[in-house]
This record gives sequence, structure tokens and C-alpha cells, in this order.
Amino acid sequence: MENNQNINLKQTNSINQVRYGCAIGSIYSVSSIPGAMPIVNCGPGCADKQYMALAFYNGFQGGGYSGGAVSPSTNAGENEVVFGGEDRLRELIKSSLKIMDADLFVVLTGCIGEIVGDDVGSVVGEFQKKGVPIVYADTGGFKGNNFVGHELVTKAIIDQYVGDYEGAKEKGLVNVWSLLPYQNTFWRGDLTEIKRVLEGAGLKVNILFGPESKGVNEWKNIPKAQFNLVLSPWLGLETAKHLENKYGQPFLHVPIIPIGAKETTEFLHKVVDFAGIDKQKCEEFIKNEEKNYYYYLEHFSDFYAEYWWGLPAKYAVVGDSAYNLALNKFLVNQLGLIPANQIITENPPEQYREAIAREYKTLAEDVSTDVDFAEDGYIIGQLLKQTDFGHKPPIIFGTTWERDTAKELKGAIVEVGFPASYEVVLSRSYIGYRGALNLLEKIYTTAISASA
Amino acid sequence: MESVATEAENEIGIPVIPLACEGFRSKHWSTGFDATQHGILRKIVRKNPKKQEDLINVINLWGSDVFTPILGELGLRVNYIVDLATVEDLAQLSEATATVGFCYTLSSYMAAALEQEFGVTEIKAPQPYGFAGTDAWLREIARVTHKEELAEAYIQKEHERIEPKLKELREKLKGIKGYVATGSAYAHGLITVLRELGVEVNGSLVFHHDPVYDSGDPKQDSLKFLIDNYDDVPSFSVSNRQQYQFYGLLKRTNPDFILIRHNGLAPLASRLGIPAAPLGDEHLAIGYDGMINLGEAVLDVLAHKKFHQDLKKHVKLPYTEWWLNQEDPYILAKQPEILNEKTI
Repeated sequence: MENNQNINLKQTNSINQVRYGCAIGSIYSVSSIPGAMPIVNCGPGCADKQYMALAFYNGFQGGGYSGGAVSPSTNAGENEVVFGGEDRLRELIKSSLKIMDADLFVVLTGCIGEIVGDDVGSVVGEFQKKGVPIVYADTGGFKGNNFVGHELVTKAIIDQYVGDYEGAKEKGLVNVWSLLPYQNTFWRGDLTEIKRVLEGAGLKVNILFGPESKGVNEWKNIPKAQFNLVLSPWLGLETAKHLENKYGQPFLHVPIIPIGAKETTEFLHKVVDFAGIDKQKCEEFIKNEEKNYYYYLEHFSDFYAEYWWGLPAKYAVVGDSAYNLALNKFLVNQLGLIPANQIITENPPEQYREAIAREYKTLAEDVSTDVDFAEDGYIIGQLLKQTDFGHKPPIIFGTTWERDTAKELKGAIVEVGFPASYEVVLSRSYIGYRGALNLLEKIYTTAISASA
Repeated sequence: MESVATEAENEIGIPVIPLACEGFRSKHWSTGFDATQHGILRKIVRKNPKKQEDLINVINLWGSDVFTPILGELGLRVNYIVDLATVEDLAQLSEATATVGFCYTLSSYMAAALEQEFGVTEIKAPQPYGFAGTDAWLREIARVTHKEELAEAYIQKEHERIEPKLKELREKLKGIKGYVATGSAYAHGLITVLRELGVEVNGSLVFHHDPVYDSGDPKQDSLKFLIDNYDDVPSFSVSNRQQYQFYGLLKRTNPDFILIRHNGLAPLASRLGIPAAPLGDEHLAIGYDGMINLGEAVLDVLAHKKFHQDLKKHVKLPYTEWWLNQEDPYILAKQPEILNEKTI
């Protein structure tokens, strides 16, 4: 008898082919702030698992100064389960302060400490009282994925380290809350490009994460910003609302991260209008950028119009809502490709799903599409295999998990998000003016190499 | 868990095996090997085995199968487990004549249990590394399977084949210092191979230390075998992949390269200008060919020095001045009162 023939298979809440880390994956939200060092209060393998998933087999991004095997960990054992982990945590914080050199320590507590009820706040409080730059966030894995952990961490740093502020705001200074570091594999190049274009448009930018950030000191400047920019479908909205309450800062929500000249130009206009700063610098910048962009696009159009060995027409995007939406907008409007199936995989909170789905209904005047929210690898594979990609092989924007499905569908695949185990990513971006050109190179090199 | 698994097994009709492997269960992930092996032994291994006299269980992780050609010379077949084995391969574990592996830390639970429950002989001999270890290992397998003549012929043939190649490598590796940083038994094996190659090994880090393995048999004391046959190892340290301790250990020994098999240490060595050979294929260094393979792997990474020496000049290590100047990586364990000194 064939296996599972008579079984009534139904969707449970367990998934295979994981699309994100757990809340303590926010170790990488910390380590992506220059000068910040995570201290992890969890079991012996947790930090390593998050490292291998988010920072190694996902673009091989690396742990840098304070990630990877550098991050101190309590390695909680049976002793900490039975008797509690506070003593061990106190010991670890003391030794970390002695051995590790950082501007800010962020204590992240995982499942064990949260379930047994460690009073991490009081342990960390002992050090905070002595003026040690240290904060804590309760990021038990069961609270959610690393998207959830990320905003728990940002809130902790804002409330416990940045603190209160009654001073003046600086016009034209903006805090950017956008991609999820490490999870979005190209976040370093992407945030670099976002900062570049905003500065080009005349703004001053607290990019907060990544190589372009001035690090922990930049976070101290958060309250001085004129406004917050939430540049993503939903991640960062909680933070922005909190900052509105705490510092009286308004926020601008732009759900679509801009890829390509059309979208990036529109984006810069939106931000500059909201900021109310002088438009001239922005217009000059846009003019230059578009000149450069369309120089390349014009040359590229020979290929796009005349390549006669066949190029994909229909596509699917499988990934987190930020990259998914951004790519869809670009592929539809700038390239004129046809959306076949869109699958959002990071389990966005229920309250945001309608708004996200609406964006897909209005990709272009004449292009509207549905979106599925799915996380399980089997289900996603089924959805793709049941998709009508027309008479040509499709192109799939997805992750390493989609490779086998892409092969079955005889289509091309471009890995754009977690896990991207067949990409080595350093400073590459797929966003903005410059990133779009990289993206075009990647898409079409992949498409034409299929038969090589 | 047990009852849920049993219910599911009855419903689905295939083995459903619960493995108790809570992260906080022990300080070292090798406990997980024991957990998986225990589950396999309980639920998959055939309870009424039919002996296969020429079958040898080889317990591995994911290395290439170097055992089939070697044991083939003795007229033996290999049952290669656990990764990518079929359920049938696992079931027949109890039907084999003997069990071997590349590392006692990994395989000793399974091997000891198979002997205890099913009479499958666990080969109690030095691990198959270097001339001394490989000779002894082959001879013990031959004794258990009555293939002594074939073994002696093979051993002699291999010694003759390898010796000239080894001589060449020894020339090229003269004056080179290596450092092994891997799991316990595996490190003991690798050091013997490096010493066969004439590489100086003045230090090693192992993640933990097992004074005995699950059989309790002193013939499996891989550390003793190393020291008795290949001399002592100064600066032999036990540290469970603690990168901050590795810093002090490398400062003290200053090797030209390190051997690793797990992540977490090589990035630090890199920042100190020292290249690493990561042995993803764990069987690379096994047996007679292993000495040649490892020698060539080392020569390849020595060239990497250019990359790491350049990086060293441009990176900052994440440690305080105090730690950078510490001689003893274990000082906090020895003098915990240091932690109560003023922090700022």
C-alpha cells in the first residue's frame, strides 16, 4: 500500500522549509548596528542555529564584529531550567563587560528564560543603574519570528538606551525603518542605496543599521529627526507609532520599496513633499540619476527587444512581503512582465494583510493580481505547480527552497530572499536606481544561461 | 511524545520515532548523536537479524564513502549510515558482523549498543588515521572477520604505494606548524596524520574530552594512542568552540594554519592572519590516502595566507584591551573574583 493513501491529510500549524528565523534571530538586528553587541540568554545551540540560517546559508553574509561565534551566550542548561537562569546571566554580563568591547550590549532572552520566568529586567537593571550601556528584550522564540523579534529589539533600545528627549527637531533629518537585516539578504547594499538616494534628494538620514550607519551614536539622534519613514509593507509601523507617542514625530508610510527609476523618483517626491524641504536638490539629483539609468536601459533595450532565443514572460514571486511587493511593482511597470502567482511567506500580522493585498490589486492601471499567504514548503510547491505560467517556462523569484520546483517547471530561478544558499552577497543591491540595474543583469544573465 | 508517536505510527503505517533532544539537555551537541542513535536502535533496527558475515556498519556524518574500496580489499561490504541511508540500511544494522566509524565521539553509542543487544562486534582499535592507526584498525577488523592474510597483503601494498608520495609532501611541508581545532576523537586522529606529514603540531583545541567511550574499552583511548605513538601535544586545550578563548590559544602557539570541521573558530583565526582548512568531508584524512589528501589540503590553504594577512591589518578584534593582553584563556574560570572588580 502506498504511504499516506488513506490518510486524511490536513494543514496543521507545523511547516517545512522554513522561511524565517525565530524571535531570537534578532541577534542579527543587534549585530547589524555598528558598535552593538548581543548577549544571548538561551540554550546552547540557539544562537548558532540563527547564525547558520540567517547569516551563513543565506548569502553567506557573515557575522561581522559581534555576530556569529562572537556573541556571548549563557548556553542555558538543566541547571538554569530548574533553578532559573538569573545567576548565570549576571555572571555572563559581568564577563562580557570584561572581555568584549562594544558601545551597547543588548540582552536577548530566548525560550528557556521566558518559559521559566527569569526576571531579566531586574538583572540587567543592576547594570543599567551603574551606567553600563546595556538593554534587554524578551525575545522568546515562541513569541514569533525574527520580524517580531526585530521590533522588540528596536523598542528596547529606544526606551532603555535612547531614552527621553525634549529638545529641538532637525528639519530634513529622517529615521529610516525598512528591510529586516540579514533576513532580507541584500539589506546592506539596499540600505546603502536608500540612504544614497535620500541624501541625494536633500535629506539627512539615520539609516540605523548596516555599514552606512554611524552606529549606536546614530540611535541617540533618533529623537532629533523631523519624521520617521517606514519603508516597507508593515515592518516598522509599530516602531513608528511608538516614536510618534514618545517623541511626537510624525511618520510617512511607503509600503513599496522602490526598484527602478519610475518607482524611486516617485518615492523621492513623496518623501521630499512630506518633509517640506526645498525641492531643487531633489530635482537635480533625480535628473542625474534618471539620465544614468536610462542610458543603461536604452542600451539594454537592444537585448530586450531583439534577443530571439526566448525570454520569460510570466513570473512568480515567493518571499517576504517587502521584497515581494517591491519586485512585483518593478517587474510589472518597468519591465512589463506578467504576474502569475505571488506568495507571501513571512506570516505578516493579520491586521496588515488586507492593505498588503490591496497593493497587489493596484500594481498598474491595467494590472491587478491576487496574493497568497503561505509558509509551508509543500503548499508553496503545490501552489506553484498549479499555476498557469502559459506556454513559456516561467521565471521564479524565490529562495533556495524553490529550486527543485523551478527545475520541475523547467523555469529559471532568481534567489531574492531567505534562504538564498546559492548566492554569495556582499554589497550587491536590487533596490533604487543602481540596484535595479544589478537586478536586470541578474535576471537576464540567469534567463539566458539556462541552456549554456 | 511517546504516545503521540505511537498513535501516529499506527495511523500512518511507517515508523514514527520521538527523539528526546532538548537543547538544554547537555553542554555538547554530541548528546544529540546519542539521541538519534538511540531512536534508531529502538524502533528501526531489526529485532531478529539474519547475520551477514561480510557486512560492516560504517557510522559516518556525510563524508564520501572511502570505506567501500578499503574494506573491499578484505572482501567486505559496507553498510553506510546514518545520513541518506534508507530505512532498510538502518534496519540491517543488527545483521552486520562489525561496526566501525571515523570518530568515537560520534559512533560509540550506536556501536556499543549494537554489540550489547545484537552481538555486532564493535571494532575496538585505534581510529584509522596515519600508518600506525590504520594498520592497527585494519588488523583488528581482519581478526574479527578472519581476513588476516588479505589484510597483511593490503597493508604492505599500501605502505609501498603511499611512501613516495608522502615523502614529497613532507618536503613541501617542512617547517610548517599546524593546529587542530575539532571534536575530541577526531582531533586525536587528525594530529596523527599531520605528524605523519612532518607538520609540527604544538597545540590543539578539542571541544570536550571523553575519558572513555560507551564500550569502556581502553583500546579506544584515542588520546593515549596519539601520545604513545606520535608524542605529546604541548598546549592541548579543551574548550567548547569558545572563540574568545581560541584567541589566547592561537597567540600562544602561532600556527601557520588550522584544521577545523565546525564553524565558529576559523573567522577569528582569519582575523589573526591564519588560514583554515575546513574538513567538510570528514573522511578526507582517513587511511593511507588520507595522509596524502590532508597534505594536499594543507598546501592549498597555506596560499590563503595572503588573504588573511591582508585582512588582519584592517580589522579590529571585538575584545577589550584587558582580554587582548591576557595570557591565560581560562583565567575567569580560575579566578572568578575578577568579575567582581569594578566594571567601569
